[in-house]
Parts: sequence; structure tokens; C-alpha cells
Amino acid sequence: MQGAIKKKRTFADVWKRFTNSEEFGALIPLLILLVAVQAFVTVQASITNGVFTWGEFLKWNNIRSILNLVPFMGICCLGNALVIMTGSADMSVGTTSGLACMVLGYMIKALGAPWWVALIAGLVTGLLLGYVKSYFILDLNLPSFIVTMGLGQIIGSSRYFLSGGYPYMKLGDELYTLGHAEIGGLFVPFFIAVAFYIVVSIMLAKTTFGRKIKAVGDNSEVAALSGIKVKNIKRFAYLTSGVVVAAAGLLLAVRMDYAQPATGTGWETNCMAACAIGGVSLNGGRGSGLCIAMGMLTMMFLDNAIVMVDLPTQLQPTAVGLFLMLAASLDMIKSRQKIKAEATVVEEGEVAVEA
Amino acid sequence: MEKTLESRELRKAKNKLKLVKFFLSSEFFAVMFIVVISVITTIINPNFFTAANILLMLRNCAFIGIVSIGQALIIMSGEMDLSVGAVGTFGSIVFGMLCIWNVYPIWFGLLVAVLFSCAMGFLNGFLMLKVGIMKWVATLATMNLCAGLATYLCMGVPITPMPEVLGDFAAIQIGKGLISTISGNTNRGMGLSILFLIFIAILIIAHIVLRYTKYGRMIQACGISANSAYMAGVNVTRVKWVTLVVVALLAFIAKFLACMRARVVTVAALSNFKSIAACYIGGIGFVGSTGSMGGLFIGVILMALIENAMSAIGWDPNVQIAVIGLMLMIVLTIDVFKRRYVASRIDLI
Repeated sequence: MQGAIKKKRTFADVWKRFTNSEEFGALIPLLILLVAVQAFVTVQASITNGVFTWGEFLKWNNIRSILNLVPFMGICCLGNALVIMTGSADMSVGTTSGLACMVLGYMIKALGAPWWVALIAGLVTGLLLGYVKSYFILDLNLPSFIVTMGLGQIIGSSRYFLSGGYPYMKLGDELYTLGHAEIGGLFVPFFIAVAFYIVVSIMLAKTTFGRKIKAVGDNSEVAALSGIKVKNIKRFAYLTSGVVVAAAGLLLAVRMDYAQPATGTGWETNCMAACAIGGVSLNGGRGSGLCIAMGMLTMMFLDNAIVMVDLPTQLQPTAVGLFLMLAASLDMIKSRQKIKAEATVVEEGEVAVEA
Repeated sequence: MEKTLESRELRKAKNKLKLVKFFLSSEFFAVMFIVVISVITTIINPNFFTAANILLMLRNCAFIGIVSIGQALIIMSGEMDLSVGAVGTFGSIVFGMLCIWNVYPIWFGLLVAVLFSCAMGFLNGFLMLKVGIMKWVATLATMNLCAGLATYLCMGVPITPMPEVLGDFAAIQIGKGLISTISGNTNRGMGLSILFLIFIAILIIAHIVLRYTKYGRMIQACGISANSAYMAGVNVTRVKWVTLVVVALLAFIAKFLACMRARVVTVAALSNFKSIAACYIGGIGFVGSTGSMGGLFIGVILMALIENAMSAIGWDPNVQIAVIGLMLMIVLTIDVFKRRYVASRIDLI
């Protein structure tokens, strides 16, 4: 028989492809969360008012305030996800953001530098820190988790050194307008975050580079045998994530108009939870910009939902922890077939510690 | 003649290898750190090297020490537990709620708190071993879970007062008279705290378990190579799961002793980073040698020393975390060089 039978693409095929994608898997928890919380709040409001009133959760005001909080941790999560996608871990992203933030404040306040010099200095800080991390993890072959935890503590303490523990206030007019200009109620940092996400999504999905990142994360041995320079890819991931994460800290300082040393503490947990929820496998190799975005949105809506539902804010870490458990479990179940199929998994750092 | 020359060179090379392995080991570096920091701090503040201060340091190292013993066990078996601090806090808050805010008897409160802590260890084991989540994600999640619950249950306020009998027990000091006569009245009436003795007792028990019991050998086997242990018939899952429960129990004991001494149950968790650093600086967690409790003891002393030295010098307490992180990085890097050298001279072993 000559020539294959050409099958017409039906709607069923498109639907199947859509539902099997990771983005759809990330969309489901988000939708469930939104619907459930909105229902709860609606019921609550109706009982209070006596008549049927829609709950405040999905109103534009609330969504707007959530979206205005997204950029900072969202961009940090983007940087973290790049590293996770290559198969490593980075527990110091939050503190790196914080240090970049403090460097900005220090340059403007203590050194009197112009705003653009300070911004560049902040980004360079992130780049340097990314290089340091990559040196320890790639050249010395140390386990990424321990190294980034240790470095994270060092960086976290150095946030307090520059200013002696005090925040830097009032960072100048140019940065103020940058942080407070709004379009349709959404401030500029939000659009910068969207731009970042679009750029990274295109890079991951459409360029060979993005494919190489996912290949390295999936199985670095096979990637190396296929001719991909694994070390270079991983180093690029660390450097880029350093810059991106520093940008997150800088954006926060710009928006808040002050730089405080506690910035970035605890962002790592949220980032990891967002990645796990969004379908970026924590073992590396899967994910896209949209996945990360949806995971981040789910985390932000979850934080807001806790307040809306009148749960005490002290339970916020508990909710994040539970979500992380659920998401990581689902992620693991999905990865299990892949892991069973591999005979041995050689990760970096197995030389030093039995990972 | 030629044979003797060759064997002399061989002997010299072997000796050099032994020296490198000794001087580049993390335990040696830990001892060096202790000596250097003690000397520098004593020069800056002579009050540092008094009997009273040393006894204070020994007492403070009991808390992080007991946590580190648990952490050492779990690191030796190949996993890691980030939730130690939070689990201890959670158990202590449960005890506080039952015995201080309500009037349940102490043994009941202790029993329930121990059960809850072990349940958290069980949860850790379930997530890590049955579901298969990576060790840091699972314990990170548990840490957040326990931390949030602890803060919520106590509503943010410290729970006071601790029952008298417990507080008095933690304040017992031994040998005041003897130490006073030896140090000639410079110790301000301090003796060796019973908390330190409890820590030493648990350390000795852990050492005996590791060295002389089957369970201890199974832990080390799992740590060296889980695959080989499995082939040899060790039930790796069960060993790790039991160890995780033990870690949670030890974490609770540590935080509970701290609360007993302070006579108040607070939400401030013991630092999990310090326990991990104590293990690594003490030589536990590297491939090739499973480390020993002696090394862990050195690491724990170093942790307590840094905390004490920072306040003696007058630096910000934030600095101690940076210093510990720096030491951790140094020890990890030195270990890489040592391993490279040993690997290059593998023909000599």
C-alpha cells in the first residue's frame, strides 16, 4: 500500500491533546480552587445579607490586588523553575532577591548612585551569585541542595550587613514613577512580569536552547551522549536564574519604594510549591512558562483565599505545606513510570552524597 | 637494593596519603575552627574562657545536640530531615495546650505530644518513601505544616508557665561544689547541667546502636548504597521510616528540654540548618565514610561555640548563621579536594 492514510484532525483529537498537556493539569487545581472559594464566599455573603449576593473573591478589585502582588514572587519562581528544569535545586533564590534589593537601596542611599546604575548593580549581584552557585555545584560537583542551602544562609545574613539591619526608604523619583505607573489598575511591575514570562515561554518552547534545557533535566546522561554540553546548559540556567531572581527583588524595592533586609525570606517554599502545582516536575525535564504562571497564580489565589475564607493567617504556611505535599505527590505519580524505566539515575552530587 | 628503594617511596606515598586524609578531613577542620574561634574570642573578651561560660556553652549545646543526633541518624541512612525544628515546636505546643492551658496530667500531655511528633515523622516517611517525593520537598512541606499549626494553636503567645517539677528538673546542676573548688570561685556557682548529661547519654546510646546493633549497621548500609543494602536483604524502606520517626521523637525531646529550661513554651523552633551543618562539619553525610558520633559531638560543640562567641565578641546574632554557612562551604570544598587526591592515589590503598 503506497502512502499513508491521512487522518483528518477532528475536534476530539485537539481536545485530547489539550487535556493531556501539562498546562491543563495545572489548570484543574486552579479552577477547582477558584470555584470552591467563590462558592464558599458567595454562600457566606448571601447568609450575611439575607439575599443572594455574589462573593467578593472573583470581583475585579480582588483579582486586581492579587495580580499586583504576583510580579515579585512570580519572577523569582520563574528563575527558580529554570534551575529546577535542568534538574538541580536552588534553595537560595529568595535570599538572592533580597540581597539584590538591598544592593539597590545601598547604591542609591549610601553611595548616591543614579537609579540606573543601582539597577544594573542589583542585576550584576544576581549574576555573580548565580556564578558562585554554579561554580560550587558544577565545577566542584557538590550536591546542589546543601550548597544552595549553605549559600542561602550566608546571603541571607549579608542582607543585614549592608544597612546594619535597617531598611532603605525613599529610593528616588524615577523609581517611584516606575513602580507606581498604572494601566487599567494594574501597576507596571505586573506587565514587566508578563513580559518576562512571555520571553521565557518562547525560549523554552520554541528554541533549541529550551529543548536542551529540558533534555538535560530529563536525563543528563542521555543529553550528554546526544552531544548537548550539559555543564554549559546548567551554568546558563544558574546565571540566568540569578539575573531573573535579582530582577524580582529589584522590582519589589521599586514598587514598595523601600528596601528592607527581610525581603525574600521563605520565597523558596512558595516557588517550589508553585512549580510542583504548575506541572514543572521537581525532578527536572518538564514544564513551560505557562505551567509556571499557572502554578504561581494558584499559590497567590490560595494565599488570598485563606484570608477570604477567614482562616487565620498563621495557617498560611500550613496550607502551602499541604498544597506542596499534594502537588508533589501527583507530580511523583506522573514521574513514576519514567523513573521505573530508567536503570540508574546519575544526578550531580552523587559523588559527594547519596542523593 | 632496588626493591628497598621502591618500597621506601611507596611507604612515603602511603604516609602522605594518610596525612592528607587526616588533615583534609572535616573533623580536623572542625577542631581547628573550635581552637581558632576560641583563641580569637578569648583575646577579644577574656570572660569567654571562664568555667561559667564553658558550662553555659555545654548546657546550650544540649538542645541543638539532641536534634543533631537525630539528623545524623537520618543523614547516615541517606535521607535528610528539614522539619526537625518545626516538629519539636509542634509537639511542645501540643503539650502546652494540654497541660498548661488545660489541666490534664503531665504524663498524658507527654504521651499525646510524643504521639503527635512521631506521627509527623511517620508522615515524613510516608511522603518520602511510599509516595516517593524528594527528601527536601517532603520535609519542607511537613515543616511548613507543623510551623503553621504550631503558631495557630498557640495563637502566637508563649505558653506559660511550665509545670514546676519539669522546670526544676531542667535546672539541676551537678558538681557545683567540686567545680567551684577547682576553678577557685570564678564560676559563679554553676555546675554541669543535667541537660548536657542527657545529651551525652543519648549520644552514647546512639553510638552503641550504630556500632554494635544490627539496626545501626543497617542504617549505615542504607546510607552508603541503598541499592546494595537492598540486595543484601535490608528492608531499606522500613529502616528509613523507623529512623524518621526516631528523628521526630528526638526533635521533640530537644525542644521540650529547651522549653523546660526556659519554663515557657515558645514557637521559636530549633534551627534545622544548624543541625545539618553540625552533621556535615562533623563528618557525617559524605560518601565513603559514614562518620561517627564523635565527629558529631565536635560539630555540635562548634555550633554552641559560635553562638556563644558571637555574643562574647559583641556581633549581631545574624552573623552566626553566615559564619556557620561559610564553615559548611569550606568543609564541603575541602572534602572535594581530599576526595580528588584520594581518587588520584587509589592505587595506594
